[in-house]
Amino acid sequence: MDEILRVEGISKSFPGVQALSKVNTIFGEGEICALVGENGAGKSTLVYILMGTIKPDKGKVFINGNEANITSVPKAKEYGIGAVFQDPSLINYMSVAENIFLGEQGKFKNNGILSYSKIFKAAEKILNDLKVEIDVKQLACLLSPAQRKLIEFAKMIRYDPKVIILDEITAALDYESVAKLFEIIRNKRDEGKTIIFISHRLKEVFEIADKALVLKEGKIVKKLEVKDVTEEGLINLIMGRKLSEVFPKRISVGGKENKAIYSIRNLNIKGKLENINLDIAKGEIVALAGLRGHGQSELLKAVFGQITKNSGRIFINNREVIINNPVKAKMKNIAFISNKREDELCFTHSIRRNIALSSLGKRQRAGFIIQSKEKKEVSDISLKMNITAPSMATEISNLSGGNKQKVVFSKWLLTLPDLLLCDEPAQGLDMGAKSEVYHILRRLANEGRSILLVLSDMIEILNLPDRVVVLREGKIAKEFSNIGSEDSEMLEKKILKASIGVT
Amino acid sequence: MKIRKIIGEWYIYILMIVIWVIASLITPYFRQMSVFMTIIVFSVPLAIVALGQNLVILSGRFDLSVGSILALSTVIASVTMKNNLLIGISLPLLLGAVIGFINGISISKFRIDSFIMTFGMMAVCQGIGLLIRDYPGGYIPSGYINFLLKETRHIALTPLFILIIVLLVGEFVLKRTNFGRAVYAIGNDDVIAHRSGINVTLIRTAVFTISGFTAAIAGLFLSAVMASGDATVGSLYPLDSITAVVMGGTILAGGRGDYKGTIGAVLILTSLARIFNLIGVNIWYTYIAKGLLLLIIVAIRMFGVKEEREAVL
Repeated sequence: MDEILRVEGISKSFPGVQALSKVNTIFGEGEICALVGENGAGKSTLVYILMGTIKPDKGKVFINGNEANITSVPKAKEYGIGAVFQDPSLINYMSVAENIFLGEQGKFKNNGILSYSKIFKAAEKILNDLKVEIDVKQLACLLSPAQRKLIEFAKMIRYDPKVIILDEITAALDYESVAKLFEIIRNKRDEGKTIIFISHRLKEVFEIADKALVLKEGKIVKKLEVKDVTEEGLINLIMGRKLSEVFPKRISVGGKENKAIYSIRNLNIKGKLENINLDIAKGEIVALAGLRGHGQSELLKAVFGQITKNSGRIFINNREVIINNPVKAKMKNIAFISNKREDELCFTHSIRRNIALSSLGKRQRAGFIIQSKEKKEVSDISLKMNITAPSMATEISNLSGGNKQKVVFSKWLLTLPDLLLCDEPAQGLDMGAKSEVYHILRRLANEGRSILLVLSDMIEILNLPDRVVVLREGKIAKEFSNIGSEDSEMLEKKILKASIGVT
Repeated sequence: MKIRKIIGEWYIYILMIVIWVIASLITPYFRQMSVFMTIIVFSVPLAIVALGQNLVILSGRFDLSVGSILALSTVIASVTMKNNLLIGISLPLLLGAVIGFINGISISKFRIDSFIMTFGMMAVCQGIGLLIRDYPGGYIPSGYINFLLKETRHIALTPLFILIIVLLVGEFVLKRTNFGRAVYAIGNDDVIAHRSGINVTLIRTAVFTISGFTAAIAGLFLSAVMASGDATVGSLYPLDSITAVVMGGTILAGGRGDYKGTIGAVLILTSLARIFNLIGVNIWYTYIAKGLLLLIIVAIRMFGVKEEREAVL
């Protein structure tokens, strides 16, 4: 295999952190190499160095054996390196075609005037080559998350880069879209492109990657052929611990024997949810599964009063409650942790302010904040949640993803919730932080709280909850109780079948 | 590191002292107590208006109507004070709060953009003020004026006292009350605040009501300074108050800032007019100086922010 990209002795340090130290590796032609490692292992830093947005302290990058001086993103493009990132990069109120050719509209002139028919035609050709069917005249804001990623991919592939970097692009996609995307990626590999792939979902690494480069604390642990390693083996390499330690043990609660505390009856939201009936017992973890966008998040939001229900009643201990906004939900001791951390935290505010925000009313005297009480409660909960930060005055934007999520948990736990709603609580976190979140959830359940989750990662669905409810097209397709006792491979198949509606 | 932090927090006061020192080197008149007192007296109305404006900006909105509420307040006071002092004081305050409430409810409940809403309200209040009194005039009781502005040994105690009280109240409300916390949270992002169980509509309405109320208070003070009512006196206050708040370190998008910086900026803005007056420069240069100073300070601050961002990366 021919060498395309080589990095030699790359080191980079940030104040207080050695992000990369003396990394040497080679990426060959026509291979898909997965970069795996916990958050903060240095994956992103390496990618940013290759894209020219970060300058390394030491080390060199070689392309086709020649030293490359990548100082900016346009330079990276010149050297034939292209990237798609997790964050959206399309302009919402422009058409798909205009987005694809952003910055190069000048090439499509007719007598000095921009010719839309030319742009549309060129964009259609690119999408046809990728075998993607999306109307190029459509506005980008109307695209689904999966379509957006495809368009971003098309936008990048237009430069015909030799090296393609894909940083967490599957994070917001469902199985079907991922499969579609993977087909395109494989085609590109077979054309001889070098693909550097980053994902936190290990299943995807096994599905698509030829090689895996394991990073830990800025150093290369190992580079190996994916076919030579098991999933468990790879997890062990990434974090130096075993799968059985990642998930907490279930203490049998037996969904049926325990009485239902929360009951949802005949809940309907037009076009989103249809006739949902669901009971949650004390100390039980219930997971909503199924393909994304089939009403799981809407159900949580409806219970929290964040979106309006068309009909449906909610009972707590057999007494009906009216919850039509988050203020009322909070008064009924319901907490909701959304899947977007940017919807939970004021990034420029301190840890203390963020943690205190949801429970301000609990520490006041005539509207005045009782400072000493707030300080104590915040530092107690942060100790309990194991938040690592220089002080409680540290700004949220300086924290790692895992610590941010722990701040979100702390914030809601101070409201002393009885029902905790979580949408993808471990999304985008590294393995170590994920494991901590799983343990926190189990501990909260053991303390007697009820927990309703939305999960999409199959490893999580099989190992975390006590009960799984599969939603399809806004209806409950199937329920699986006592999932701890069933064979996990059989269960996985059943859940998948229920998700796509095959019997 | 600690010194840098202190400078970062108090730079506006350091700048103020620098300006004062330079001014007193240039002109001996600036060293007089009476000049200092003039600065204090003219700072009071702007500081009070800026308190409301500061809350509004921290919550991520603007209030352009403060100037004409202030002017309307002087007009109403100049009409009603001759009959009954109590009504002359309470009526403008009530009116200011009601106008602010209308602003707030329209912006929070009916989702009218704050810029448009308060812009419209500015014109409405100005019109009402001019209908009642199209030339400056009216009667303000001398006892009332004396109470607010009387000097003992060249020191006007009441304005100084008001300024200190306003500073303490502003800082306390922002930093030590649930209301203040909620304002910061809403300014950062109202979706987050809503999701955290904060009544966004209520807080937003309260913020604008307070802004109308403080503008009316400022009007009452200014009516004593002018000894009359004037429907056009407020024209500079919307921009000056926003300038003071931003110069003082509050982010225009909301969610970040404080009130002590705003007071510092108010003192600088009112000093500039005095200094230019004393050294005999055309008064219009004050506008140029104000504008440039604002731009320079914000530019310097963005420079600091950029460094922070790089450190985070």
